[in-house]
Amino acid sequence: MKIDDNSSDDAHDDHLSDLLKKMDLQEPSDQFVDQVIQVYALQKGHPRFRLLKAPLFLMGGLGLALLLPLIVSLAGIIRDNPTPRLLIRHDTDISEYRKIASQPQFDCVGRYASSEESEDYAVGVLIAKDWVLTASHFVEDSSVWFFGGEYYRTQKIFRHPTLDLLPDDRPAQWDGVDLALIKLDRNVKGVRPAVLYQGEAEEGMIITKIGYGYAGDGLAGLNSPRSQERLGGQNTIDLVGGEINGIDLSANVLVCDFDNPQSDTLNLLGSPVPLPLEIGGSKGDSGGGVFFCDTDTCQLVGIVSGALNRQIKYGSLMAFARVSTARLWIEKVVSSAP
Amino acid sequence: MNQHEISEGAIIDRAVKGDEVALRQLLEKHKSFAFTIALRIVKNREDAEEIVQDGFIKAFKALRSFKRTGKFSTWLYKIIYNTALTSIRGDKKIFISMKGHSDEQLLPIPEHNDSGLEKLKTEDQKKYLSMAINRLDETERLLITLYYTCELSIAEVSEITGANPSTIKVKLHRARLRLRDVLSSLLKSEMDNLL
Repeated sequence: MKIDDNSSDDAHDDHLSDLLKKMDLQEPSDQFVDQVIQVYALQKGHPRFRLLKAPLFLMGGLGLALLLPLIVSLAGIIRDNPTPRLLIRHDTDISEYRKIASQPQFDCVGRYASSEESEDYAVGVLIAKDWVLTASHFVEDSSVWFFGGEYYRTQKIFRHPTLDLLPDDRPAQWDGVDLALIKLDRNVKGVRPAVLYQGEAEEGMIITKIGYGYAGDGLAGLNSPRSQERLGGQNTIDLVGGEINGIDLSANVLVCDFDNPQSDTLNLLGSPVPLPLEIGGSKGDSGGGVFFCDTDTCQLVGIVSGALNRQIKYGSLMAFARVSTARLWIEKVVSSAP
Repeated sequence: MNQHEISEGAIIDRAVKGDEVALRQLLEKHKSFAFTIALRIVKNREDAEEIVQDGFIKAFKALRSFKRTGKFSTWLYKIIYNTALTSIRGDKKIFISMKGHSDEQLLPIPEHNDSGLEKLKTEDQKKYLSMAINRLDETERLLITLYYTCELSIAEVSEITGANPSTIKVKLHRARLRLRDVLSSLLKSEMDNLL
């Protein structure tokens, strides 16, 4: 009997091995090769390798004269922006995004890490002298927060109560309850907490998002090697709840898309025209602050929670947990916790 | 050195000098294997594509350091492998996906039975096998892919992963056993759902 069992196993194994060898290779997208060439050319600092030389040679003096300003301009862009950038427009200087992130009204946006030594960051927003509002999905019991040049430790975590009620297969991001309140070990010094948005008119609102996501740009995606950086930029809230790609989002979710300045073909929501400092969501942005600013003040309207696409490039959608619908819970916890 | 290695060597020489045509040739030749490897590690097409893009760019930048004593493909896949591992480690606190994974819902129910696999059409066999591979752990998925799908030798798998050849053999054996168990369980589970 044993012999029979073994031979049956062997036969099965042979069949399995044969089948494994016949497994189809997977193919990347049709644009993959062009995309790699484009990104590599940008990172190397020359537009398109040698192919550019032949047409120039053939076209002679007039062609060269006509093309020269374009080449000089392109070389200038590449020289001034040697590093591609993610989540920001590919055609806009990254220093503009850094400027936004460094404005004092956004000092309330701090950096999260599992320890002071860790360089793997996420984000949280100071909403009271010793309270941080952030996304729940990454927070660990032992962690540190960096505000105003100092580290603070997590003392206690209060997760949104609805998280426990969701079915296992329904991500918290879809219900806008991917939220946690963090009680810090002491008051944060020298940083003014964010003011929570009180209204309900988020749709169509131009917002400013501050985060510590991986750098790169909307065309090329993430830089290699990865690096996280504090950046701020703008976007428009295109949707408050609703259905996207067959996913039913609750009214606690705010959604923005990342518009491409070169093409509107990927536009899913609202206007296809990007803002001057349009920004998308990036890996590492979770917990980031989303603010509505008028001439006098900025108010916190959302917490960066998730993406509807894994590939964070132009056309991607980012989702925020809506602060206005969580405000009662936030105020109750902050006012009543010991 | 055989003719194939000589011609690839010439392409690499041109690629080192920044020849776009040569770079495209290297991309076209290796993109499918590289993408399949990355996909087995991260299980997500968008992430895999990003990893392979990063991997190719790293490789292109480091082409001068490629020692011609080994195969270019092994050198490249090692870069892809390390890039994928780095990506997974960096994914602990990322901006997470809200996209569902629904590919398993579209498969046909097998008509039968204890092992079941042989009874299915080839395309369905592949689909179930792919599902089963995706349920293995990261190391098992990768070894199965490198050895069977990419048809690399144990020595090449060893070079890519950094594990010694005897360890690879043992792990590959275990991976195949696990794959068989997962496959059986998967097919049986589909039957149970049907009944």
